[in-house]
Amino acid sequence: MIYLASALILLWLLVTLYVITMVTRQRRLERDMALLKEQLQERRR
Amino acid sequence: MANVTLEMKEQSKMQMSWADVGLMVLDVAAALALVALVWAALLYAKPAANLAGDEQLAQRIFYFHIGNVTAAFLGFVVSLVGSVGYLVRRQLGWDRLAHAGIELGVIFGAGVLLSGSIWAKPTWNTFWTWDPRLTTAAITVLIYVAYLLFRNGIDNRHSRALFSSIYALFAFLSVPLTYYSARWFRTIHPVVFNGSNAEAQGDFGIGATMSQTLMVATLAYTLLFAALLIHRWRQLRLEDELTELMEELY
Repeated sequence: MIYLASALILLWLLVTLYVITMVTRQRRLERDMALLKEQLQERRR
Repeated sequence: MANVTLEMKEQSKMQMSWADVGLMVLDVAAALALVALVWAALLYAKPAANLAGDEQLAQRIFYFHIGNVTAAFLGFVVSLVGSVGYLVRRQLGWDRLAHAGIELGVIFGAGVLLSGSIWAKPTWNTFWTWDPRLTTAAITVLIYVAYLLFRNGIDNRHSRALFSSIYALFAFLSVPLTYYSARWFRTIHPVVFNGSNAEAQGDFGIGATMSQTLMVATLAYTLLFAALLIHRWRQLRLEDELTELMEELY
């Protein structure tokens, strides 16, 4: 039972960590995009 | 110019396109298929008749192992398509496809090695042995890890895409080698599809419920792979767009 349980936990952990990394990258990209937008608006003024 | 491009991007971001809805449907389908796989692998599939105890329970890891194999294989095939596409068309979209494919191939490839090692402990009494199949699989994953490291070392986007595409073409040679290693060389790894291996340890016959569960595993991991690939490809596109805008501005 221990082998089956540990395999399942580790496999889902692997995919979950990858998804978390993707979400973090996406947030950073959106933050950078917003910052760029602000800088452009400042330039217009 | 940068102002107009950014405004256009902002406007298109506000509207939810059919592609977004399609991707959301794919996400939900992948999640449901994975739930179905857990149920089928743990409850529906009959246990292997020739195994007992821990070995019999660990056999159920096989369904997730095959799912990961499918997704890793798809990742490497997508990387081949993306690399050939870039070399022919010289458009960065193809390179992004190859990059996303390899990233997922490495993740699921690591899943293959991990699940295989855990299955091996009660079956072969060791987590790892330098068997031809295990060795070629580990080398394949490492070759693709090296691809990701190699990419990071090149700043110019087109040079990076060109050299990465050439690297990925050669790297793909390790994929068929891994598949055929259990057929060409002496190995204790079972051959499940299109053949058999008399020296395999931990081999088992596949009954009706097992083969149905395998189909669910293949479908679930294919959907998961497709959903993650599209998300990652889009993210890489956004990263490139942001870099382009920065370059225009500064």
